[in-house]
Amino acid sequence: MHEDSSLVFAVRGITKVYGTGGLTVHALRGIDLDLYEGEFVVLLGASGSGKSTLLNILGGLDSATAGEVRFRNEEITKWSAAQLTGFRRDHVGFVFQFYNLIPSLTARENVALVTDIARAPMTPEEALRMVDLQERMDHFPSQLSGGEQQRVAIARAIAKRPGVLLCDEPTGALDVRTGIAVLRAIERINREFGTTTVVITHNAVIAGMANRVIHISDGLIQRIDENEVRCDAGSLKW
Amino acid sequence: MKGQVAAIAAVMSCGLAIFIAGMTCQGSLNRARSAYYAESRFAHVFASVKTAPSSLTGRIREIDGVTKVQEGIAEPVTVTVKDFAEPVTGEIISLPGTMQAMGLNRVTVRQGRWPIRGRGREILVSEPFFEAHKLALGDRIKVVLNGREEELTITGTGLSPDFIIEMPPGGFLPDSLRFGVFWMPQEDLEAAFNMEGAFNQLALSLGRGTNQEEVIRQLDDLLEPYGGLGAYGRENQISDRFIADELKQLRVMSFFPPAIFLSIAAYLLNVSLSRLMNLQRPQIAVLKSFGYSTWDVGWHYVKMASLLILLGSIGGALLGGWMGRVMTGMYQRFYRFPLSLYHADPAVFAFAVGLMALLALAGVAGAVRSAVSIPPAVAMQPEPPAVYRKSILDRVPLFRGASPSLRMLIRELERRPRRVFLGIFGIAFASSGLIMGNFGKDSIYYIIDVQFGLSQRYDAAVTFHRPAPLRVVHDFQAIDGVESVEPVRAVPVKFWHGPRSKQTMVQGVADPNRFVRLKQLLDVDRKLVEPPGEGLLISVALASALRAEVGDVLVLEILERNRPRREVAVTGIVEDFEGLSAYMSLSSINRLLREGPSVTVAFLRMDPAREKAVYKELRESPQVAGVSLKRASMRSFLDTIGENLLRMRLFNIIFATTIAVGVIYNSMRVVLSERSRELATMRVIGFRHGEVSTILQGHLAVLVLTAIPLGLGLGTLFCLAIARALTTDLYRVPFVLNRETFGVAILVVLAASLVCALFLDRGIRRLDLIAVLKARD
Repeated sequence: MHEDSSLVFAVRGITKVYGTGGLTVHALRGIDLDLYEGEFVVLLGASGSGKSTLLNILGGLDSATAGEVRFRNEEITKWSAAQLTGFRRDHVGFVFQFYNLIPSLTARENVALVTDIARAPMTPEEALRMVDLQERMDHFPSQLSGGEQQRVAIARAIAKRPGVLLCDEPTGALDVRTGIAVLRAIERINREFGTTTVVITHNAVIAGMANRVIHISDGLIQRIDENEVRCDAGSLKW
Repeated sequence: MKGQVAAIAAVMSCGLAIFIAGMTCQGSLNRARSAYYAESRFAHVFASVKTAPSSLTGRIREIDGVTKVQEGIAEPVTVTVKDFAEPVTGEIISLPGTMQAMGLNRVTVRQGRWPIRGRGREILVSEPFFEAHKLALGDRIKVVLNGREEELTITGTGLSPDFIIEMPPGGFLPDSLRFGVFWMPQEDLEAAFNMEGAFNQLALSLGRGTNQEEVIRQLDDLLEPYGGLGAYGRENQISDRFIADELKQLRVMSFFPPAIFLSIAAYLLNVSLSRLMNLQRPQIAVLKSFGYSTWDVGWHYVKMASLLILLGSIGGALLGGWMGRVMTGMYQRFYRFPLSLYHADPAVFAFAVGLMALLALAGVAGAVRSAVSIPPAVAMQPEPPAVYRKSILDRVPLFRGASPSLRMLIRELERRPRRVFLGIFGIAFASSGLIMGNFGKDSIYYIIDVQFGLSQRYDAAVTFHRPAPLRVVHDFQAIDGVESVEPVRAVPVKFWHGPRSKQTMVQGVADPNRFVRLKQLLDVDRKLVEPPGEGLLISVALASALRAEVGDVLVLEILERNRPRREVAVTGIVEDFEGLSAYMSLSSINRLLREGPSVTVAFLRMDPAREKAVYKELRESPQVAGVSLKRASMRSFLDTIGENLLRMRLFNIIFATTIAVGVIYNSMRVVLSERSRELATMRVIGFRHGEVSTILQGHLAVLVLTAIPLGLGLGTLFCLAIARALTTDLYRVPFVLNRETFGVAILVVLAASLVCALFLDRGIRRLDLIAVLKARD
C-alpha cells in the first residue's frame, strides 16, 4: 500500500517494563508498527493499555526496554538524550491533554518559543491563523478558554512544520463543541501539510477521522482498522 | 523536600544559636559580676590621692551615706620575671592582715596562702599573671619598690573585683605577660614607700539611696588639700566600665542579627510550605471531602512545621550551647572571676526556642490558612493557569525584540514582587553578614596601622613614678643604645563643655624644635597634625563625648596641685584609638602647674641590637615606674585579639554562608517546583537542557546580582552602626572597610549561588518529563 520512501516510523518488537523485581508492569509487550507520511492514525484503547507509552517512545520522550524504533530509517532507540532533544526540536510536534502552555507568555509568545529555535518555522501569526486564533494572539493563557488554550498548543506544535504531530488525548479535557474545534485544527494541519499525525484517545468516535485506527489493549496491538472514507471532524458527535 | 528541610532547619539553627550564645554569654557575665561584687564587697566610690594621713578616714566615714571606708596604698612597679627579657610593669596594692579584715574589694586567694607581714617580703600575684608566666608558689620575682629592687616571694595567687579585667595603664587590652597586679601586706608596703600612717587609695561603700554625687563632692573637698585626683563612682572604675560596655555590646549583638535570621527562616518556611500545600491541593480536597475539618487538615501541616521547628531547635540549642561555652571561654581570658563564668540558663534556651517557634508558626499560619480554606470542590479542579500581565518592560521599545525566555523570566519576577524582594533581602543580608564578619579585622588592622605604624614612632614608652625634671631626657639620651628621646608631661584633668564634662589625661607635648617627635598626631585622614601651640588637640572620641568642635572653648581643670582652671580653645581633632585623649604643649602644662619643665613619660627610640642593655639601665633607674615596648604591645594585641577575632570571623562567615545557601537554595527549589511544568514542556518541545536551565539561572542571577550591591550597602551601614555602638570612652572603633572585605563577600555569595545553580541544574536534569506533563498541576 505504501512506498518504503514514505515510511516515517518503523517500530519492531518494542517492549516497555516499568519497575523492577516483583513489582514490574509490562506497559508494552512487543509492538510492531509502521507509520507513513501524511497518515492520520488514531490509537484507541482504555486507560492503562499502553498507548501513551507508545506515543512517548515515538516522540523520543521515553526509552524502550527492548526492540527498535526507526525514524526515516534512523534507529532513534539508540540515540543519546541530546540527539533525542534535537529530534523533538526539528521533527516532532506535541499536543497534550492539559495544554501545557507557558502561563507567563501570550498566545503569540507561546508559539514564538518554538519558532525561535526551529529551523524553518512559520511565523507565530501564521500558526495561530491556522487554528483560527488570530484575534486572541496577545492574550495570556489565563484569559483563554480551554479550547482556545488547546488550539494555541496545536499552533505551537505545528509552527515548526514538524514531520510528525503527536497528540495525547487532545480533547480529553474539553466539551464536545470545543473538542471538535480542536480536532478540526488537527485535521487541517494533517491535510494541508501532510504531517503524519498520531492521536491518542479513548473516545471511539474520533476514530472515524483516521486513515487507520490502531486498537491497543494490555500492551499489545489487538487489531488495526482502515477507514475507507475519513469523516470530517465537523461531523463527529459524542 | 529533604534539601529544603535541611536548609530551613540550618538557617533556624544558626539564628537560634547566635541568640542563645549571645544571651548565655551576657547572662553568664552579668550573673558572675553580680555574685562576685556581692561576695567580695565591691566598693561604690573610688578615689586616688597623692598622700593623705590615715586619720582623714575618720572624717570621710562621717560623710552622710558612707557605710564603709577602706584606705590603702597602690603604686606602679617594674618587675623582672626570670626568663622573660622584656620589661614588665604592674601595680602593687596593700593588703590587711587577713581577708576578713578587708572591708571592701576583698581579694580571693585562688592558690597558696595569704602573705604574712614581716616575713621577708611575701606577695600574692594576680592569677592571670601567674598563669601567663607559668610561675609556681614559692617562686621569687624582682620588683622595684620605690627605686629599690627587691626579691619578693609568691605565696599565692589572687583575684579581686577591681581587677576582673587587668588593663595596663594606657593599654587597649589586658596583657598578662607584661602587666600584673601584686598584693603585699600593708605594713611591708608602707615601709617600702615611706607611707606609714598614710594612704593613696580609697574605696567607699554607700548605703542604699545615698546620693553618690554628693558623697563624691564632699570626698573631693576632703582630699583636695592632699592632692586628690578626683573621686569617681563604680561606673567609672576601669574594670567595671569594661564589663558594662561589654554587656551593652553583647545585648546589641545578640538581638539584631538573630532577629533577622529567624525572620528569614520564618519566611523560607512560609514559601516552602505554601508550595508544598499547593502541590497537595488535591489530597487536601479529598481529605476535606471525606469529612476532615479545615482545622484537622491545617493542624496536619502545623505539625509538620513543628517538626521542622523541633529540628531547628535541637540544632540551634546544641550549637548555641557550644558557642555560648566557646564565647564565654573567650571572655574568661579577659574577665577573671573566682567562680565559674559559664552558666547555661535553661530559661534562655526556652525563651529562644519559644520566640523562634512563634516567629516560624507566624510564617506558617498564612500559608496554611490560605490552602485549607479552599472548598474541596474547587481544590479538586485543576488550578487555573496563573494570571500574568504584560510587564512594564513590555512597553519599552528595546524589549520588543526580547526572546520569550527573557519575557518569562521578567514576568515571573514581576508577578511575585514580595517574594522576590524578600529573597533579595535574604541574600543581601547574608552578604552584609560577610561584610560584618570581616569588619573587625579591617578595623583592627587600621588601628595597628595608624597607632603602631604611623603614630608611634618610638620603641618604648617609659613612665616615671612622679614628675621628673626635663634633664632626665639628657640622662636617657646618654644611655648607650638610645637613639632619641621625646618627653611628655601627662596630667589628670577634667574638661567641661557646656553641661558636658569628662575626666581624662592631657599630654603635654615637648617643643618640636628641641626634641625629635616620636609620637605623631594624626587627623582622621591620617595626615600629620602640627603639635599644639597654645591651643588644645582632642581625640575624636573626646570631641564627640563633649560635642566639641575645632574653635570651641573648653574649661580645663587640672586635678593636681592647686587644681587650676583655665579656658582653652580646641585647635584640632586627632585620630586616637585610646579613647578620650587630649594634647597641649609641654610648656603650657608646666605653666599651668606653676612648675619647672618636668616630664612623666619619655618615648625612646632604640638601637634594636642594644635593647636589652637599655632595659637593664632603665630598670635600675629609681625614677622609672614602668617601661612598655611597642613591639610587645603590638604582639600581645594581636595574640589576644587575633584568636578571638578569627573565631568570631569564622562564626560569622559560616552563618552568613548558611543564610546565603539557605535562602538561595530554598527560593530556587520553590521556583523550580512551581515552574517544573513549563520547564518540562520546553524540554519536550525541543529546548536543550542548557537552554531551559538558563531560565532558572537567569532568575537566580537577577536575585543574586541585585542582592549583592544591596548587601554591600547594608553591610556598610551595619558596620557603621556597630562601630558607633562599640565605641566607648575607653576606646574608639574606627569605621574602616577594605576592598578585600567587599571582594570576599561578593565571592562567597557568588560561590554559594554557584553551588545552588549546580543543584538546580541537577533538578532540571532529573525532571520526569512524562510525569510532569501528565499531572494536572
